[in-house]
Amino acid sequence: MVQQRGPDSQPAWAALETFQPPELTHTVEDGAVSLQNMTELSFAVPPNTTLLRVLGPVMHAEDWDQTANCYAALDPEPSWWRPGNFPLSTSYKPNSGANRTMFLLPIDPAVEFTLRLGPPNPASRCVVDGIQSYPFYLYVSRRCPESDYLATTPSPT
Amino acid sequence: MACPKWPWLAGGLLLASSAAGQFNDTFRTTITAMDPMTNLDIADMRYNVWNVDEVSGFRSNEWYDAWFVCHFVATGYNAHGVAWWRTQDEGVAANNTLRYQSEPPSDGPTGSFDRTLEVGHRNGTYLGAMSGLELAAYELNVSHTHDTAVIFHNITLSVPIRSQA
Repeated sequence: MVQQRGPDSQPAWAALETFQPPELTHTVEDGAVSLQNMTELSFAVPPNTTLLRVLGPVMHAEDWDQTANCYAALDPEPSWWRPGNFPLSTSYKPNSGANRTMFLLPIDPAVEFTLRLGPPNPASRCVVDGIQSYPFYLYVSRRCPESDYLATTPSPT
Repeated sequence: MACPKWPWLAGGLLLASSAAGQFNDTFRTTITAMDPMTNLDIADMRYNVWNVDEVSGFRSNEWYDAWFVCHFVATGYNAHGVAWWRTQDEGVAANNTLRYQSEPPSDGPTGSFDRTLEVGHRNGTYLGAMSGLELAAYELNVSHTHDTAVIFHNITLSVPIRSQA
């Protein structure tokens, strides 16, 4: 049966009766942003940034059908970008924790990028704690190359 | 002239020069199994075979067909851990190889990348390493057969950056 929907088929107030509030797109839990329903978080990367580190929590999965994944995209595309090739991360772990490394993204400090983070499919959510941006005038310790120790030096002015 | 024709040329030269010199150094950092860049609990954790050491965070399994995945944007990696064989028989051990595969998650128009590294160490302290890779977003898949036991410690990545060095 085909239901005819003409301009006079419903009274004017029917639109309000059938109004559905928009689905929840994100929540804040324990200081972390949880992105759902393909919602993207965009971040204007500061100038002179050469490395981005995206931090996020890891957690147990309460429902094994859920997934907690993130993709990272950059606008404009960095030199290492290939079509359809997104950096990915997985947040469900046996242990819980915060501020774990989700992405390490090297970028050209001469270009101002916008970082975009989000869940790669509608069934998953992307949980982000924070974003660190390392400017290119950082001093990388040579004495302990295996560590991720970074110390800042005064910027050239 | 209200609309000069040279800016596109200047912009092109600027882009070319910055692409050549955007990185001049390498940042090495270590990722553990507790970082979301790694995935040892693939797809369905109900059937996960990786044990967790609550103190060290190391992950281990014995005599299972198992694998783990690491996503990274880097030019090299070094996976640390220990592997050993079920039997001392070298003839059997020949089939018990660790396989390493680095490939982009999907094939784009630029073509796919696929490299396999077999590690035959007995009681080695590393699970495989590659260096000098073209900078790209990679998916590393380290798998082993049920004749092998593996303890995964961590993985060190080489990420190109720009510094004042």
